[in-house]
Amino acid sequence: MINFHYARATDVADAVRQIAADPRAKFIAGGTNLIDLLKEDVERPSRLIDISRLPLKSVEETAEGGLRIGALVPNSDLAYHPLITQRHPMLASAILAGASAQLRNMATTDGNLLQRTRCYYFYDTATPCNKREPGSGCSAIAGLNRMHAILGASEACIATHPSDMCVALAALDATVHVAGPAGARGIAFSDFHRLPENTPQCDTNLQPNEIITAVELPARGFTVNYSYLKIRDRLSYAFALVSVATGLELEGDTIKEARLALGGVAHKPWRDPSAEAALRGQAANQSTFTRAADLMLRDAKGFEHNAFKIDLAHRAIIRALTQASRGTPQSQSNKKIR
Amino acid sequence: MAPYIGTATSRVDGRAKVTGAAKYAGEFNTAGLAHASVVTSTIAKGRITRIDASAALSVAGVIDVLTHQNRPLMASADSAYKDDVAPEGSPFRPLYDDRIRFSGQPVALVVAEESEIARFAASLVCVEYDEEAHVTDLHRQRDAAVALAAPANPPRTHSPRRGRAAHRSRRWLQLRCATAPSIMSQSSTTTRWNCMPRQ
Repeated sequence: MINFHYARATDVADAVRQIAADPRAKFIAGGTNLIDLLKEDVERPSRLIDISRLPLKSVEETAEGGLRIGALVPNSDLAYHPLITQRHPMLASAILAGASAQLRNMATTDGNLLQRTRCYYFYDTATPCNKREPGSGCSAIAGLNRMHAILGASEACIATHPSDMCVALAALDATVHVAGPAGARGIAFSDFHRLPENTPQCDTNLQPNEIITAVELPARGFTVNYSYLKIRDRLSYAFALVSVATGLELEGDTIKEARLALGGVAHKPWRDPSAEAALRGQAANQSTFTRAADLMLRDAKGFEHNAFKIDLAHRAIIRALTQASRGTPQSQSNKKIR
Repeated sequence: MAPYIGTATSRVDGRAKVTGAAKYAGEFNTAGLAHASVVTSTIAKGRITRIDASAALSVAGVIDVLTHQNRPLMASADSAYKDDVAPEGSPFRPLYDDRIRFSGQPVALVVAEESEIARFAASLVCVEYDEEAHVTDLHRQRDAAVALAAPANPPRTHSPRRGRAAHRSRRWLQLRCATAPSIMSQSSTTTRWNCMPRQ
């Protein structure tokens, strides 16, 4: 960890002003990822701008019947907020599948979106990593790659985005609201995180000096037929090898609306419009779910230590869709997968 | 014992740990307490050719940087480091010489007045190596494995004898296996994960 300056932002405009004044400054809120990266010498900011006291901590209803989640709402508060548990239980479930209670108490919405990959080589400054040092190479492609991507990877990077919450936000079609020197704008969630391509050093499409102010959820929440299914090496306190967020609207046995997002398999939460289209209008049964899983994974490519994820993801998609169709979402406290 | 087997039983230190009340080793303080940060090898096999600790030593609050070049006198014989239950081979001696035997091997110890200073100064220590080719996959090298020269017998316990001998020798086991009516031979691997806390 290098020596850094510490400053507090008094409001959003002040935060934007401060970060624009120092190109090597970074925002800090809960710090549950950033502090680790500082200790590992992966991030070396000259200045930390503490935004944890900004008034962005509420969950409010929007005019369109959706919800607006302040960027600094702690993950735990969000998971237990009545408006979320009632209207978007998929999001609450996904949050509770991640990290630990202590981490969820400190971590914010903002930080959860911006957390960085946990690729071992990204963390190890003695190894080549294109995300950490563009052009130095990717150690994971021919190295230990159990936790790495099977979709959307490039020759430059096969890292995954580790968040659970983001997989649900992707499935729910959230919008990320940001503020910057050029003003405020909204970014569709599917456009927020990037694929690595040949710029793996860029995790998101946030412009320099922009700050996330809120995440907005539309009205549709899939309150009855949803599930967040997370498969991992340990029953708790571990990242997903594969996770599935799914929401269905059923009319009798027919799927009227479907959302399907995968975690643990790509540089961003993975959605595929063709898989969702293949669910709409179909009977909610095994063969429909299998077709969607086939489509979702048709371009999947495994590496030496993670090829098992392809079959695992296929089965997890079918299981999650089955759970959702039955109205029996995966519990995050009773770990048995039914 | 029976009521505990198969039940989810909280650790005796569980409540203290999850509520933040538990005091870890790093949280004890006393006047004049120094803190250290370990600099570790970035290669798996080879030799240290140069250590430059000048930048680390110039950080305010750093007391010293220990390396194999300025460490206190250390015994060289294996017997000085082994205990009764030590396995075969030479025990690890930190900062003993310039040889790197594994990735992450301690190569320098930065001692400072505060732990953050020690950690920061450790990031300023420059180490150069002559790197050698390494093999870390046990299974790829099994055929090159060397048999133990003389397997040790289990150590004698100090408990009083209860009926038959308190332990058996390997020789006794070999003799019994040779005359056993059936022998099951199995290979298994255990995960490196376990649930025992370090503190």
